[in-house]
Amino acid sequence: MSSQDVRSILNLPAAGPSTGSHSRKSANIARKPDGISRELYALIGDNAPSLAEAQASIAAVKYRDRPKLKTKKVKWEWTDFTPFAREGQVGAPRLGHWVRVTDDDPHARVDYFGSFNLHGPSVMEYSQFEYDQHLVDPNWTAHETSYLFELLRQYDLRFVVAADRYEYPGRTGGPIKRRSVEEMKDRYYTICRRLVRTRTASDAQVQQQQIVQYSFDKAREIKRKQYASELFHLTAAEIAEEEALYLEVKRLEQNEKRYRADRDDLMRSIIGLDSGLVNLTGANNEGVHGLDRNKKKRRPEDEVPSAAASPAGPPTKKQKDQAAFDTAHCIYRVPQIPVGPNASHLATKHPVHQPVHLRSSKMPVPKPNTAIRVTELLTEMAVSTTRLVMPTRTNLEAFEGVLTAAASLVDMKRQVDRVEQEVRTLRAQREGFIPPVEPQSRKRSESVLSTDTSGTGARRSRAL
Amino acid sequence: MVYNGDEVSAVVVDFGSHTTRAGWAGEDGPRIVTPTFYGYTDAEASSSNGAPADGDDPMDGEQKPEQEEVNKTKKRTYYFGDDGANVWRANQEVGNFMVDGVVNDGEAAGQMLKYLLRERLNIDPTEHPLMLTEPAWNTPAAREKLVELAFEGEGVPAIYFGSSGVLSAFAAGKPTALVLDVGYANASAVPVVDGYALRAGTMRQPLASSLLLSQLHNHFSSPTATRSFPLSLLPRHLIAKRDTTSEPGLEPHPTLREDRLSGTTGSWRSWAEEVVVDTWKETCGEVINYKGFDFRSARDLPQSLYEFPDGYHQYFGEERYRFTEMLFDPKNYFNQAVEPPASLRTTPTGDHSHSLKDVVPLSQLVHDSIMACDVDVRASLLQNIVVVGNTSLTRGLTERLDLELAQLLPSQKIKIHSPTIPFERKYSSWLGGSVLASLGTFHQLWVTKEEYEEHGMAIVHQRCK
Repeated sequence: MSSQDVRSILNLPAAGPSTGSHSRKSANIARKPDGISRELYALIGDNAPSLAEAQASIAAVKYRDRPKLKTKKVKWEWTDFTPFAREGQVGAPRLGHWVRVTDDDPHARVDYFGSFNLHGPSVMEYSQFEYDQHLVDPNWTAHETSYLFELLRQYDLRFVVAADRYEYPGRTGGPIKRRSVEEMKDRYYTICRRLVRTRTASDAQVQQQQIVQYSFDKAREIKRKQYASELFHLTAAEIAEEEALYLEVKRLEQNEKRYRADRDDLMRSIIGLDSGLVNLTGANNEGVHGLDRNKKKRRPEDEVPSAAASPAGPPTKKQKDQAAFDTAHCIYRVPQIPVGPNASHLATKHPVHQPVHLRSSKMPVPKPNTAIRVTELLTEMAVSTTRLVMPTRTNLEAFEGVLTAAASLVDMKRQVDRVEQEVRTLRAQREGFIPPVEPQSRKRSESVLSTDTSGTGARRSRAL
Repeated sequence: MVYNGDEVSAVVVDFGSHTTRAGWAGEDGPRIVTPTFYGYTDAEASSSNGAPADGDDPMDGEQKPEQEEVNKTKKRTYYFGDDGANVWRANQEVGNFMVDGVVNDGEAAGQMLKYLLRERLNIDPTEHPLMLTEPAWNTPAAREKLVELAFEGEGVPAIYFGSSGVLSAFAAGKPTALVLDVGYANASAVPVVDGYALRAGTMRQPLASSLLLSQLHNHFSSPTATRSFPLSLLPRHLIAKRDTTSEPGLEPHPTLREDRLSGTTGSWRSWAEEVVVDTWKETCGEVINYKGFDFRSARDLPQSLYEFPDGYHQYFGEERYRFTEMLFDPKNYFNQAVEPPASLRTTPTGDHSHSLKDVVPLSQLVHDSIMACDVDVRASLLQNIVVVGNTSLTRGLTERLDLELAQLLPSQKIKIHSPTIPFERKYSSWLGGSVLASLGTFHQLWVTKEEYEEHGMAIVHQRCK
């Protein structure tokens, strides 16, 4: 609907002499103002409200430009070409493709694809002389060897594919001979090694590296493939069994560890010795890593005694003077705190600073896990655990000794109680003619670690 | 050049046992999909060899048939395309030049090639390089025949043979894959490593659509426990008016085109009946995808209503599943007593193929194929199983295959990749050919006519390995 239609509906007189779009065009009405789209301007007509114009300029709606018809034409041309790799060969394909006509070299595209013609890893080459000198093998003739190398070159050392295509007809054309991947690899890598070794190399290290690179153990490879292929023939039941066995091993290992920890505990509290059991699980589980860690852990410990020993060894003159001075003036030097194994490297250079303190403020305290019992014990014997009348160094040491003794006594008592309980349980079992539920070793390990009710619980359930 | 393509307007032709595909390299689908079955009439068929030739060996040595359009005085006329065998003609026989996935009849294949290039694509073959596909077990003789047809018959400037297994892997975007192609004549498993098909692991067997159809045909054309009469399986060409009155499961009485009955040959009739059965199979056939088929639980399977061209309609239940089960359990569901199609009998028993006597389940075929390869590539093959071919579109087939493979190889990680778009599965080898022939880096591999004239077949065998 144009403005004219609106006018006719509203019975308004026609604005101006222009009637109809044709005549309007010829009248050459005012040019469309910038910033307002021509579609919108056409709707508004000639009595454009100024508001709309202002808004349009604000919004600045951009419509797509009219196509410019006078731009340069893009020309494509059907051109003949020969693939890069085949250029200059007899019978090379003459192919055609569409090429955009530009100022650039039209040949660039062909060259571009030529750049992809990369060959795989290069295959070793040998001369007849070298073959006669070093490479003779009773299993391979020279002819077959060259056939092998030709095949490897053709398939870029893809041994799997080359072995699949290996059909050696023999020099005279006998029955077709096939070779396994291992045989081919063995022959190829042996030749490579021999060639690298015999040829004079500029760098001995590089030569050695190459020999290592070309190393190939046929028997081992065959064995590896055998094992690998066995994995493909596992049945579902076997896989389930394997998984169950693995879990069982894990469980046993854990039991063993627990048992050993218990026994260690017991031995230490009774005789004050390490049980002497070999740390089986640690060695098994951690393997090389574990060894490494042990080594690392050991190093600082090794260093500490040596550092401590060095002043004790042949004392220098200065140290001797110092010692005399110290004894004369009753000076006691606090030994340096050994640096922990996982402390940073800075700790060795800057030892931990110990501020000045009163000895009474550094009274030894019993171990937290036995603190209550130890305190009870000491109170029973009328020894205060919190106060020393004269906290000298020797007194403090003596007090610490008392604490340790008390702690071990408490510990011992606990162990004795436990063992007695166990003995009672076993006796009760024997009296009741109830055979042990499980094999002896397992039984013991469990009874040591678990509470006493387990034995009686088992008996009760049996009796029912 | 983002995708490194370089169009040289090459033509890709993919001969299949059931359909033949042709089109331009670089496009994402074949322009022409035409049945490989063709119709032909012999002008003096009765006088030259008496009995009408069987559809499967239509060629006779001394006959020199030519296409009708070229020379009307010759005896044999070929009809290709959708209006080839599909149109009823008096005394028309139906043939197929593919046997065991290999081009067997050079004469008819040549006519087909000419028809595709000149009539359908409307091109001058001397201007366009031609890429052909071939199965991994293609014979040198068949290859030579095709090369002759292309260079001497059509005069193409250059040719290349792509192995269809490799091309299917390329179409799926994988350089290393195990391609299981369940097609019309064959089911084949081809291991592809770095773009090379491994001969050691290539396995094939005639357990595919064709055998399935012959079993179904036998089932429909003989009375069963629930159906007291054999189905006529008449194609619509021979029916004037189908019987619309009968109830489901009752014998229909359509009005036949009596005028055509006398001119219908045996080969055309069997082809047409196979099409009828094939349509049923495509519509109704499904594979049980979670367990094997058994008759006890078969009654609970979902039914579907289907009507044959003659008006027979019925709710089909267990038949939808019983016959496709053959693909996974041939021991129990492949009825050896039913006469199989003659063309399937040529597949020999060997290291790389199973004959009709000893077909194995599809999953076993994949398993054997992978186990024949080197240990080091097995894992990557198992994780890249590409399932293609029209029969693989049977519902539930890939899921079932996954299940069966997991049972065969419980310790391995198996991943089946199969294109979801149907035509990507049906025409996967054409697509791979289209991709390959449009790559800028590929063009140096074309075998040109000059090279062929100079070196003979040796250059083809050397280049297309």
